[in-house]
Amino acid sequence: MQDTIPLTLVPSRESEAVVAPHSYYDEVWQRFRQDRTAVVSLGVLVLIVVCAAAAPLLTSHDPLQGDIAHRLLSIGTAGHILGTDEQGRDMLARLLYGARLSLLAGIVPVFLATIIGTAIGTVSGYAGRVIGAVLMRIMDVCYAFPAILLAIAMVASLGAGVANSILALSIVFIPPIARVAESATRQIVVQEYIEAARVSGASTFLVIVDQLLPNVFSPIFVYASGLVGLSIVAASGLSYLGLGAAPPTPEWGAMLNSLQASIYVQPVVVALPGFFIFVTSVAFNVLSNTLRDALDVKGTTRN
Amino acid sequence: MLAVIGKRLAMAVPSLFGVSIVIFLLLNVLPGDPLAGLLAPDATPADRAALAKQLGLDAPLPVQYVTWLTKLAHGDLGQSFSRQRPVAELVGTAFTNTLVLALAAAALGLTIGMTMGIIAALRTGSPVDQLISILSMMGLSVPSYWLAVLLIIIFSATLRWLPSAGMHGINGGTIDFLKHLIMPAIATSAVTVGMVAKTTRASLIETFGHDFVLTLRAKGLSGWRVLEHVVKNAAPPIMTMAGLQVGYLLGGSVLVETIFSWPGLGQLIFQSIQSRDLRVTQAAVLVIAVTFVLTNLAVDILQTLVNPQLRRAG
Amino acid sequence: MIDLTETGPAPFAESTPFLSVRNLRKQFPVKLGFRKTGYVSAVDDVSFDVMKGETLGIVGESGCGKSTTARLLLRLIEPDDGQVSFDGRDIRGGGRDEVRLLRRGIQMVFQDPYTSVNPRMSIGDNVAFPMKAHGIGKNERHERTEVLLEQVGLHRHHASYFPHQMSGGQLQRVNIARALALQPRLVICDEPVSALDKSIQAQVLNLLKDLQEQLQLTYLFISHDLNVVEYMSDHVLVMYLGHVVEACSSEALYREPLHPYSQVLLSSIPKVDAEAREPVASLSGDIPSPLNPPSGCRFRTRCPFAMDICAKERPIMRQPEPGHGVACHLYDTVPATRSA
Repeated sequence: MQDTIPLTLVPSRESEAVVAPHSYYDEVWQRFRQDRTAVVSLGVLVLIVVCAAAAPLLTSHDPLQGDIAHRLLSIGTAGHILGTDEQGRDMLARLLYGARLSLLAGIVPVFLATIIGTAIGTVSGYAGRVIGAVLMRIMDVCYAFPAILLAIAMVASLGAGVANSILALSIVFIPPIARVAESATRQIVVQEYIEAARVSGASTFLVIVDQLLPNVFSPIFVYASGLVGLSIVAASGLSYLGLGAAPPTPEWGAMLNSLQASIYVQPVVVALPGFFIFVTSVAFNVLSNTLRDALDVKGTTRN
Repeated sequence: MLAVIGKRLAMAVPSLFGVSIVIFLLLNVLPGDPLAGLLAPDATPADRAALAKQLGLDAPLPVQYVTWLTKLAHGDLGQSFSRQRPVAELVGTAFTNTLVLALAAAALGLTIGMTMGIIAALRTGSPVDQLISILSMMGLSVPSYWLAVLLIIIFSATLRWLPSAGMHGINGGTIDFLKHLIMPAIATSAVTVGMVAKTTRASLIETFGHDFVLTLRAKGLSGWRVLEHVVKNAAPPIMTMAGLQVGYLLGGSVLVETIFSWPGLGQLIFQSIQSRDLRVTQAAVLVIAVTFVLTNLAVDILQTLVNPQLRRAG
Repeated sequence: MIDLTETGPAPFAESTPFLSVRNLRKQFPVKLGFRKTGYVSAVDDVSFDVMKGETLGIVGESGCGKSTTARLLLRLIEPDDGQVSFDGRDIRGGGRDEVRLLRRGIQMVFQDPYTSVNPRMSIGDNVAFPMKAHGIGKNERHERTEVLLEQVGLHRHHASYFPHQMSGGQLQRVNIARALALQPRLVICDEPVSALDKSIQAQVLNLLKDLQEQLQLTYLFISHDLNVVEYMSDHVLVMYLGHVVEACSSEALYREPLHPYSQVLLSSIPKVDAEAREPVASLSGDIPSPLNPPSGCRFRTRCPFAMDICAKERPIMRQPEPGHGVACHLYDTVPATRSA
């Protein structure tokens, strides 16, 4: 590699900006764009989020107001394009409004767990020794439970409800994220730029936030994005078991539960809420896979 | 090698203790009411206190924990209040049923997953490979409870081939038993299929890249004989995955068992939560978690026996 | 226990030194599992002085303790023992604020340009980080960063570039700009050019020299490359397994090295005027394990002149010539340097 910078303190033509400056993330986006499936998945997710947010604009039906005379209408019925449920409520309205809670209950736990798990993991990896070892042993114990089971057991103790379901899933996801954060941190702390930051007299907090976090972000982000699919499935699963959202509230898992009795009458309508859970989950997993390649993260697999 | 196995065994002990503490805390410290469901709705505070004392709930937490653990060591899991039967008996029966379902799902998932993985690895980049990777992605993402509902819609509601519920053990004959088993097993195994297919493919492709494969080819070995060697070398990560999957299958059974009324631990957990019989919930979760730890341990030890490199490393 | 008669002040002390190090010592525990199985003595009884505006080179093979010495001075590692005074202030002891203040005065240029610059931060943010750490406002940081970049021969546009867009030589300039951000008076250069191509090494070395003149900097220049050290340094310290074996002016060392180790080191580097120096036996064997260093003189296991006494006693620093110290039993007839 030829160093083009001359020794004179006055910059010459050669040293002036030739290539536009672009950050690591500009390159990541370039790589991400190459994957058509991932772009489609991103589009699907954006569509779902927009539809959920704009639900009142997209349907005039009240998701809670049913009409017993028109219960279990099939797909394509005039006025009820996706049919009606067992109480005659419009399925499209319920699916749209239901998306809000289903997405919320799935994404919030991963978000919270990422913040807490990253804090635990980076501190463990940075401080090392005793604190790190103790924290990581605690994380290991939580690892001894299948995630969904631990969440179910926790909500069973705390009592059913969306808040408790979010809380339980958050706690369940902290240990794996902390582990990923810790191992990423261990790889970064030995780099000279961290030592350089310490030499500059920066506080530990500033070193972690400014220097360490941007570098451990990628593996954590990839891992967390992979958890979102699982989390949405799990959150709806808890509602399906009656541990999350309570019945009249539209939520995909709870809807599947209340519709299940009508499985012999209107099978396609019954399958709808689950279909949306499935599509959202697939989209997030595809996204996570592509992100893993685009961010060039190796060796972090879900569970 | 014995030392290595001994070390792995020793490492499992703190895990098991940790598990018991977590489960104990779940019941005793979280703001749920451990007496809920045990008391009549019109119980007075005095009744509460009396019941708490009778159950030893007035003792300090560490004392309660030791008492609970001691009883546990003697196989005494207490009495189910909603069913008036020993918890150990309920959990024991359910465990057998869950194990049958988990093993069936594991067998199904491993066979299909490995087949898919091998085919994909042999045809990297082909449409078949792409189809398989789409399928495994779907397997990984599908909610087991929705797959269960789909299966019921197709095979019970529409085709009327298979029963959607009502497993009564082996009494109804082998055919009847298998008919009840097949849909829950498929629904549970979807994640395993996806996971195993992905791991198998990756592990095989990596092994194909090794020098020894080229040597074998240069020696003139037939394609099948080469594949045999490759599979042998690619086996360890697949084995680990398989072992872990058995554990997850046990844990992931709650939803599927509930849908198909499969009388296993999952359904027991669901029912005990509904009847607020937390003692049963606790025991069932404990059994699953312990099985999970032991499965991981078995996989570890098996790895040590198979992989000569791990045998030497301490 | 330190026997003060064994070590003395650096022999080239003339007036009040800018940086003065006495009897610096650091051992690292060696652990096997949870048991401590022994100690590696990384820096043992190291003393030297650096005068304002000069460059002190520290030379030695890898593992000789030169980088540990640098990290001890910056208190990246806490020393076990010894005194360090910088510009008349004792910098051992003192809390977090003291360390922060110290770090404004002493900065470091790191070895590897690729790992010492944060890949996720722009060049400008990398250079400005020390100023941010010391609470300097955004606008001032921005202006100073542009000045710094130009000072090290880069263009101010480079501030918005990212490390992966720069060459190794350019990144090393960034590294230097960052070290200068806090306007330090002492800069420790830890192998600053050893990761660079030969063609770029000279450019970076010249830059360091120019900056020293412009900004009246004092350098502690660490390298395993004797040619580089000779070019850069006024005085040189030769280290072997945590001990200082020779200390003298750069010119004296290259003219007439006294310690057998220095002689071997010098004879092993290619020189244009090869006849000027008598060939000395090349180094036999590997560096002994620092876990279990040889008794007495640590160099004796590889020394062509080893005697009985070398295994028994650690040699004292003596001055066969004024301002030229050497720790070797070959010079036992010379009176020992006396400690202050």
